[in-house]
Amino acid sequence: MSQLPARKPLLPNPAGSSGLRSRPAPLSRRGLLQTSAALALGAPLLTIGTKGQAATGTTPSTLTVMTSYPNTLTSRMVDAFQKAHPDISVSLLWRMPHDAMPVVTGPEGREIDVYWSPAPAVFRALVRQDALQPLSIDHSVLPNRIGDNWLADPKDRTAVIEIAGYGMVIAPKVLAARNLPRPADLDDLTSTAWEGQVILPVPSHVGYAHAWLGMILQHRGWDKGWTLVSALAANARFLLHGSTFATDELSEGRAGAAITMDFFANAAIAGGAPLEFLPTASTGYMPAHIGILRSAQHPEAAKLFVDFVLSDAAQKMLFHPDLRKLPIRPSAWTQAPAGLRNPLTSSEIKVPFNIDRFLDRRASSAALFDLWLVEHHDALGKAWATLHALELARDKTAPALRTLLSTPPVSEQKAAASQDLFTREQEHRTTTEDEAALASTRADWKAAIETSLQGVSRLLEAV
Amino acid sequence: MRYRHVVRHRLFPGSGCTHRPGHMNGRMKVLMAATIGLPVLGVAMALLSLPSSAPPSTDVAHPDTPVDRAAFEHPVEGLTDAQRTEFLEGRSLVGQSWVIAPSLDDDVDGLGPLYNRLACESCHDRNGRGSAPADGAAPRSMLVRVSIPGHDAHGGPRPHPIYGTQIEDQAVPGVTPEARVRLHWENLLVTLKDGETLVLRRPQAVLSNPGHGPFNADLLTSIRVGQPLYGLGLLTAVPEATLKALQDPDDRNGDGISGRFNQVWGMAARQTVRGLFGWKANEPTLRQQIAGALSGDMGLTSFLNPVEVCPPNDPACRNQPTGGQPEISAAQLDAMTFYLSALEAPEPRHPDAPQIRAGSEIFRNLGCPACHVPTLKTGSEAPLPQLRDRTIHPYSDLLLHDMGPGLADGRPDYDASGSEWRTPPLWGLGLQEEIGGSPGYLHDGRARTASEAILWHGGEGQNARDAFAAAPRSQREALLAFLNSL
Repeated sequence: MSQLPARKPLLPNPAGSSGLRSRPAPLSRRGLLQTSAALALGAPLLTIGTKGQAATGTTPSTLTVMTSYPNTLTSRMVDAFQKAHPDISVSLLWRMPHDAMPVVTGPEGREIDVYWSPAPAVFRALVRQDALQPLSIDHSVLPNRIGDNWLADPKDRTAVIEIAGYGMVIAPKVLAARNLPRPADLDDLTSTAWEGQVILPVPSHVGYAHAWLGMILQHRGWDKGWTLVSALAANARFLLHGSTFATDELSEGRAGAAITMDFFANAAIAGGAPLEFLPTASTGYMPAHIGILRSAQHPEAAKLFVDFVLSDAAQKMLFHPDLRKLPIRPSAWTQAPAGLRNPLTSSEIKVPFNIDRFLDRRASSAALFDLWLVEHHDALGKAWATLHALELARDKTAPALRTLLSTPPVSEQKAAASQDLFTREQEHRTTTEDEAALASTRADWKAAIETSLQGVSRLLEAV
Repeated sequence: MRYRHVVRHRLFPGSGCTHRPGHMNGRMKVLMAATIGLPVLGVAMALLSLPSSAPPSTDVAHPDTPVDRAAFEHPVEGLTDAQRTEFLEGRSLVGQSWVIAPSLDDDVDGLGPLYNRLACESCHDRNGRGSAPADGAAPRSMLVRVSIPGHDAHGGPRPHPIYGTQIEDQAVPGVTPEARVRLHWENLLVTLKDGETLVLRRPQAVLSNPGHGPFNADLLTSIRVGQPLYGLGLLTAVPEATLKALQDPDDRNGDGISGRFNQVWGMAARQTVRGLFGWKANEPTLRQQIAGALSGDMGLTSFLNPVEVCPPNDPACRNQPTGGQPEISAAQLDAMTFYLSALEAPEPRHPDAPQIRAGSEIFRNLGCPACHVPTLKTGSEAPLPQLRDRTIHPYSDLLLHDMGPGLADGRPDYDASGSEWRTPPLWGLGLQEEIGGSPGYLHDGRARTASEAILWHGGEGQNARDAFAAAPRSQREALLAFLNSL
């Protein structure tokens, strides 16, 4: 294990402690000064424009951090960290969460010091494997739960960095041009006026979309949640894996509203997009975490990095117009940009949201969404349009049709039973037995969906 | 006063120089060369050792209107649905953080084994330019090119036998990076004719911890900051004949300006062609520029650069898993090329504001348009119809000019000498600071403001620079307001 030169933290921290209780002892700046002194004295460092051999003396520390954050966030954080700690080089490894676990826990993982990512499933797995070091966090400065909602490991092997909620982003100009009513909540987007005017990211294709689906299903419950989701899907155009953003679609006038995460919408708005972000009654908040691997080769540097990311200065950086993330540190909110709602103090955080429960339904919910609402999107869209017309005409068929269209063909218990299977499929680690079980489960679910659709057809034929 | 006690050396004879001229080291020679020619028109410059946090001079703020932070990300108007799809695919790839192979995301794996950054946007944040780091910090949106004296088979820089043409300071686990890179700054104080002082800074890259053996004593190096990505398709669409007509390699008109093409190797054409992109116009096409950056900066192979960048004596590097052969498919390279080709350039802001109009006039009077040509016309034959027959305002002739010893890197690149640089377009200049934070102007990001960039001009730009330094403050402010409006 390499040792860092002991040194004082160089970054002024206006809010005092970063929140980590155990801080590096204040020691000399020797390590920092070595480079400067070498330069000043013409020591054997190769400088451009001079001749010489490279130094082989002091080995600077290289901290390896795995993340799935975009460059817009990592570059700013790492730049600021290295400005404060010029003797520590940061090497970033990038992996999407679904691809991270085999690396973090595999042979390559021995070189990883810190995992830093909006990836609750990975952190849960790392905690369960006891692969993370305890952090000793001062929770009077850095909360790990809000209300009844736990945001991090109660034993402090993970620290929350920021939280993100979902909501509706609307294009007021489109609403005005198409005479669309301003939505107060998601239910308003299910009306006939909104047909084809809603952008909905598909969970199996767009990573963050698991959050909006999971939060609705928890807040309203499985059956009522799917009732809303199925009606929303009928009015929606789907955002699949690819390159366009919901905010692009709205800014270019292709739709009036979209479901998206708050930071996507707020960053687009800060960038000049003529949009507005509205939270919903079901908005809960998803945490992003940071943790130090037990196998970290550079634990002191790792601690400094975690300390920095949780510091007041770094937390305020999350407000940058290209990021518009929501810091977990309450003191950072004193410099929040105008118009950004603070979920730490507002009532919306009281929406119950259990991350474990969310993770335990995530893969199966996404599979049901695909099999039911994506595969049959056209047919369901037409059926819902007919339903709207029938309801307007007060047709007696309407209630039965609505029930059929909005009842999930798979129960929560059934979905939960297949969760592990779908998770393994998502992570590309299925066995032959799993493949067979998946095929059987899918056939079972498809049959239930078919039955539901046949019922819909019969009702429509009778109209 | 923060600067009063820190003056260490004065290099002008008779001004208290503490070093005998016959005993200058290499670093001093560079500094001396940079200062020669500066004390014209009563302008004095002294070498200082100032705190690196010395605040830059501020330029005149442009009118306070909301800024479109996506100003560098818009496509040209009129893309078809198919073109829009390709544009968005290209955008996605340019924003992609690449992944070490093997990965479940096998369409975006193959990073390294050696690399500088994870993503194109690491050095081109929001398609803008990069910036230089603080004193003693690692560069995050710039890199260090290296070579040894001589030429390669095509007349380009001769690669270092181990380190090639670029220092990759990052490596995948199990592989040793080529070196540790840190930037340090030397500060210089410039006093303008009316007494206003500005602090300029000059970078010094420190390469340490060589991963694969010592650097040569005659290693040639050049620090390069990421350049803006917008408007590149429009520049490509300017007919070669238009730019050829702007050349004056022997300065026959006697205006002291002698722009010329760089002649570089075209990998697709398999012959020497004119260079168009890069700080020294050392890349002929957008596709070749992109493929070169993917290979050099991120370690991603493509059909143009099919071989992984590895030192010859490092089996650990050569034995790393690849993300395919090549790692970037032709379709992906096409999409990125299309995206960059179809990026619009930002419009000038408030061109009719009185101060900006006055600044435009001063720009002309100082002789800046001799290189920073305000208006060009694209041709009728551009591959992308949306780029054809456009009148554009890049403020560049895209030609090489000798910029004097102060900016010289001493590293020839094809026909470009160590002191020649391609005129960088000025469009989008003022937006950069508002969108990208602290930009770094000039090839090594040394200039924090347009004023600093102007004051670094030498060689063919010396007269314009001196005229700027001698101009009254109100005229300088008007000029800067004009530049900020572009």
